[in-house]
Amino acid sequence: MKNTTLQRILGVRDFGVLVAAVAVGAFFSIATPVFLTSYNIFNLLRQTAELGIVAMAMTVLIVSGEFDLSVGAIYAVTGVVSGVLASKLGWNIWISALAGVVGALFLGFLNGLLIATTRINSFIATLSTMMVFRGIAMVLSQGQPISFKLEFFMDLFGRAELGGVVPVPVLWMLGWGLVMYFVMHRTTFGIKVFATGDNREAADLAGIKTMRIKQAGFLITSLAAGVSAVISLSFLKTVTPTQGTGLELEAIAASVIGGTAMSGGVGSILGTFIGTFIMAEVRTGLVLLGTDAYVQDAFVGLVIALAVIINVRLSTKKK
Amino acid sequence: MAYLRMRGITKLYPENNVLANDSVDFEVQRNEIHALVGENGAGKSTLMKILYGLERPDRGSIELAGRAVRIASPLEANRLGIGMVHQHFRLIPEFTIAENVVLGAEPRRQGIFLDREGALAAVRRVIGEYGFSIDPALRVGALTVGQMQLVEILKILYRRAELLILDEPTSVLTEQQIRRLFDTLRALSAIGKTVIIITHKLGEVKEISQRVTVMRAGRVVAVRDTASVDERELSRLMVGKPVSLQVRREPQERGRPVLELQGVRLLVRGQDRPLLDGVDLTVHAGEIVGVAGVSGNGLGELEDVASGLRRISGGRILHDGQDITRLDSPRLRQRGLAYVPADRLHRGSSLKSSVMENMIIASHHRFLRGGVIRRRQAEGFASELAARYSIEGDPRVPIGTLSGGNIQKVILARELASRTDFILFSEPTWGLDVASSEFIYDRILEIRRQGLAILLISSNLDEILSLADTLVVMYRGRVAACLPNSGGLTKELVGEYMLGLRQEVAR
Repeated sequence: MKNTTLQRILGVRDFGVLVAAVAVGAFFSIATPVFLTSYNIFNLLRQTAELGIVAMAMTVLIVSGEFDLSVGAIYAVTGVVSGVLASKLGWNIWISALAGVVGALFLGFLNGLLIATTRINSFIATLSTMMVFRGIAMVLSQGQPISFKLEFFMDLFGRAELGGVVPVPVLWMLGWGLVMYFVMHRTTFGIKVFATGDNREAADLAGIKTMRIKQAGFLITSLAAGVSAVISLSFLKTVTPTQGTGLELEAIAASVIGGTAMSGGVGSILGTFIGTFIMAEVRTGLVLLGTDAYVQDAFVGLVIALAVIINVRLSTKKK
Repeated sequence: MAYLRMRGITKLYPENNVLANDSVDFEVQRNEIHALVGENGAGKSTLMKILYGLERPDRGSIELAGRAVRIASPLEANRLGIGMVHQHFRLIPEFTIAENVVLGAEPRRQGIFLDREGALAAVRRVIGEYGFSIDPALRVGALTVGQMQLVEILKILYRRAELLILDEPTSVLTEQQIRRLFDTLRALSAIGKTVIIITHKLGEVKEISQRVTVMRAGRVVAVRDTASVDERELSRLMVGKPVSLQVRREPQERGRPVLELQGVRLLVRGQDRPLLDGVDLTVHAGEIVGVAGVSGNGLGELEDVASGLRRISGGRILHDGQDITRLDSPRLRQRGLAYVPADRLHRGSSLKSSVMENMIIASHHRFLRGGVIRRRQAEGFASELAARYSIEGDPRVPIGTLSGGNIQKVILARELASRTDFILFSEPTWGLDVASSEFIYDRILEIRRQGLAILLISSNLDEILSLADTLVVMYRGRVAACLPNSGGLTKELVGEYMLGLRQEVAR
């Protein structure tokens, strides 16, 4: 096989995803002239910041062999808790947002605890906590949206644009991605995550506390949900108890498009980042083409199916 | 002064009431290569699992270098300087060699960051120290089996183990790889490491070990200096005195050939020796053909091939003179081929389904009306079978709640319920109590009288010598001998064929 420098840097798997991202981008650039403008690209990235943050964390969890379907609900709880504290009780926004994120971490801790103590499959365990957490968001907000009056805080997390071009959510996403990248691909924790997901028995025999690794994964996804909820409320200046519905599935989809194996043990943060970008490209591109809004989800579904098929083909050919 | 001293080790597996180790005393001197031999189920692996902290003994004590130790987990074993290479490797395929080796004891930078260069350098150092040649940056998933084994050994050496346990290390290796492994073991012993090697290949015992401990049926039957014992004696010690089973096999004329294997070959990627190599075998009506062999010599593969679960790479299989090589298992069943697998829990039954469901699964179309199972008829059928085979328990309970003997009876009942002229048995009485075993033997002889063709694969020599009309011995994927079982056969003789000490004159 011929290896270009770029390919060596990205790894073979990530290279395939990158090619797909470029191909999708090229298609829309030809189809509509506004697609390839810096304004559109940054707008696209801004819209995808929350998803990207959650998806990169989800990758850590999937690689360890678990799922978290409750991230969307945790995202809602974070927003609602911050909103109730800041708008209804008049707390300082910094403390309110911090309380929301701590709440998110607590819910992630509960997920991990539930799986560790009962050994229920995480798919079904977090499906039930998803409904419970969503219920908490509903009760706390009484089903109503809550709006904020924010100044500096809002700018810092949501509205400001660096140099008038780069929206801050994009910076937060890149920062988070960098942290996730180092955690997964540079630390001993990361190597344990991969080992746990690839061959749990071998990992156990090597002395890795694999359940701890998975629990840490749940904490990371909940932290991601909390952080992205703060970004969302800063940008939108409002929270709703229904926000983040479907976020968990999009995060899983982005992760899988990026080359993460559903069976665990394989995945990359960079791949997931590109996977998120592809999903955003398709959505934005379809809007720019003037596609009927009702058809868009169907197209996104097709893209996911296509990406996964290609992914499976590539990974089986390697063996 | 022995380096390792295990005393009075006793281990009972309550699930199947097997006394795997019965007051075993086992000693190893520092620096020696010690072979632990015995047939399948002799208790070698259990003893080593206890030493490695994977099993707790019910009774007994362990002394290492003169100190009493308790070994509760593999981690503790590692701390005490004991390392084990399992028969099935415990490796992470996506990782490099270096990552696999350091996993669980990684070199770090600033406390949390994985020091990849450090890991590579450390592993490279271990590789150099012991004179191996392999690139630690290679991905484990792309290695050959021999290289993977080397990675397992590197894992142990990286953790500075003094005592290495290898569980049947040569079973997956080629001749060349075995040479290389033995050179490695000799080199390790020369620099002061102690090695225990589990095997049932006697040639290897003679070649590599200084002393040998022979186990049979959970006990140590002999400890010898390897130089003072020959392979024939080892073979005799391993198989023991023949036990005559309470079965009476009447002489009987054999009929037409029912199932024929002609030059069957099975090649598997990554194995440079065929797992089945030109196997010829004919089973006639009213005949029991017994296939004997030590595990790893093609018995399991023969089971897979004869049951139609695995496609062969060469040769053909005939049923009633017609080629059935490419038929799938529903077709084979339609033709009247039945199968009682060795793995009765996973391959032979659906554990969470009821006894009744397990009984009708091969013939459920008989109970269908408009696509719906007529429950009453099916239950009637199941109760009738249960009575005929004296299966205890309600046919509506999950089969997994039954004892091993009753599960085997259910499988047998199902397989014989439809029109059949050939049946394959693999390890039909493995792990069963005496009464259930005798029941199975009686059934096997009964269907022989009815004129079925029976292929019986078993590692239990007593069973084969008592039941089979014709005895086929497999060695390294080939038929080493095909002998009529007419009284003159002894366990010693068959044992010699099984262990490769004797080969039939080339055809």
